[in-house]
Amino acid sequence: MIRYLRGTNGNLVATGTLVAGVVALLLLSGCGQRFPDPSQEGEFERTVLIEEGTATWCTYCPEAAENLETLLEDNPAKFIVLALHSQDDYSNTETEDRLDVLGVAGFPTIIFDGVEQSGRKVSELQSTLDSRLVLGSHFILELNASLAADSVLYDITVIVSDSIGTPIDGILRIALVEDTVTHPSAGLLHHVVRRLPDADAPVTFDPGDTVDFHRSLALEASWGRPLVAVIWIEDETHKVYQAASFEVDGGSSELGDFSIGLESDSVQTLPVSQLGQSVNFDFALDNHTGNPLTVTLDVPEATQVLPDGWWFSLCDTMNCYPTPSDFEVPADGSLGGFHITLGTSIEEGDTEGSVTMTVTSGQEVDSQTFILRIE
Amino acid sequence: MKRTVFLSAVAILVLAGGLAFNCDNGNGEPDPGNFSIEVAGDSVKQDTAMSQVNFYFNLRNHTTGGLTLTVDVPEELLDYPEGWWHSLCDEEACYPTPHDFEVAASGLLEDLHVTIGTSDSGTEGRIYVTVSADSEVDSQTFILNIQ
Repeated sequence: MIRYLRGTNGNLVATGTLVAGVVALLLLSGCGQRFPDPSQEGEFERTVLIEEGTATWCTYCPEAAENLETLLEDNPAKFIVLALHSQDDYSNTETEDRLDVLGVAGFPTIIFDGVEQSGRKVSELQSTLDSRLVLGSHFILELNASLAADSVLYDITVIVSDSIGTPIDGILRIALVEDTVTHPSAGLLHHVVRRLPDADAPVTFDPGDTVDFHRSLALEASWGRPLVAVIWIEDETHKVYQAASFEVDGGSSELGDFSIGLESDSVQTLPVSQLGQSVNFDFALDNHTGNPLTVTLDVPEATQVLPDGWWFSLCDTMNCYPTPSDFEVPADGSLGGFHITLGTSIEEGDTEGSVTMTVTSGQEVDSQTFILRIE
Repeated sequence: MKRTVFLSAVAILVLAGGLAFNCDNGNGEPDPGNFSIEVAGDSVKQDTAMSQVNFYFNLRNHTTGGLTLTVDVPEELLDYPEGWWHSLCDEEACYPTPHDFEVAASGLLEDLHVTIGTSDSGTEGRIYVTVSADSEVDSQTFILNIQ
């Protein structure tokens, strides 16, 4: 598995060994940077950070992503995934830089806590996760994130164990993740990293410290909800001490002028025996302003991932509408009775179809993906 | 203009590939150069729309030293319908192009493949894979026809 980490030549390795020796001597003498071995056990529960090098052009990446979702179902709240895209519609200089720093050359590559690479089978992922969880952590990270007009605000509290013998120098990192996006050919993509700014300078954490940080990241209107704010503390070699995340939505007025109120599950199933039938996904549009709001509902063609013969329609209780269509939502009110209908064909073999609806008003865009699975 | 550039580029690749293959090595056989592309299977295939098809090839190092071979699928030479896509992979991972592969002395790097994914449009697509090391360039064309 080391194969996909970019190698260094013999001279560099030798230099690295020398540097490591010098650092070790400095640590022993109580001088210089204080990055302790993150593999040392701490008394706090660890949340593992999984970084997934991926791309929409990568043949094996859907399998890896699916296995990570299975791992997430089996181990809820035990880890956080950052999908770092390369050379596709979702990559940017920040994701490419991180992949470069981590030495990722082939895709998919799955790295736990910045240090441990795993195979992509569920059993391999579970084994690596278990080996990280057992370590614990010296840190507790508390994160609160909220949406401002054009940014996400991070309120971070770092609590340091008072049982650590010496201060620890850690680097605080933040990222912003779009939970789900729909790609025309690759289908649903999860945990897509949108922002991952450069690292701050190391901070010295003393035993028993409680330290507050405030950060913000610029937001683009086209990013769908929910967004997930992610933070972690790493050492200079990118080994992760602790991670935390916070889902940035929740239907509050901080969401903006309007929101989509789901009135049925966004993921539904249809038995194979009922192929040929259709399923409704119900929703309402909520106006959080004191003025009437004109919103545009659309189901962009690029987001329609439907097997041959499947179809969709946008309707309310009275009519069906072409997309895009405009609707007037009353001040501080709601416009209900909407549904997206996904229709299937009688052909067996197709297991899933999805569409993503976008709702736009002015500069604000919200989106919702509806998925129909055949079981 | 675009077509002229395209054809010129193809011509250069073919010429370079030809030079790599056609020099006599003194034994009456063409000199294979420092390396060669060995197609493992068909280079022309047929399939249905909305499918994924793999074209396998190996890279052989004819020298007695290790070789770094750069495999590329030049974007300007992509010749397939809208909505189609491709990736370069081995049995374990996929790689952005160009990508460097190390091939051991007199060794064979196996199981490389280009996957072509099709959409519901178009009837034929071509992928040009180039492999280079220093000044030597070889190329291979893979063609997918939709029935």
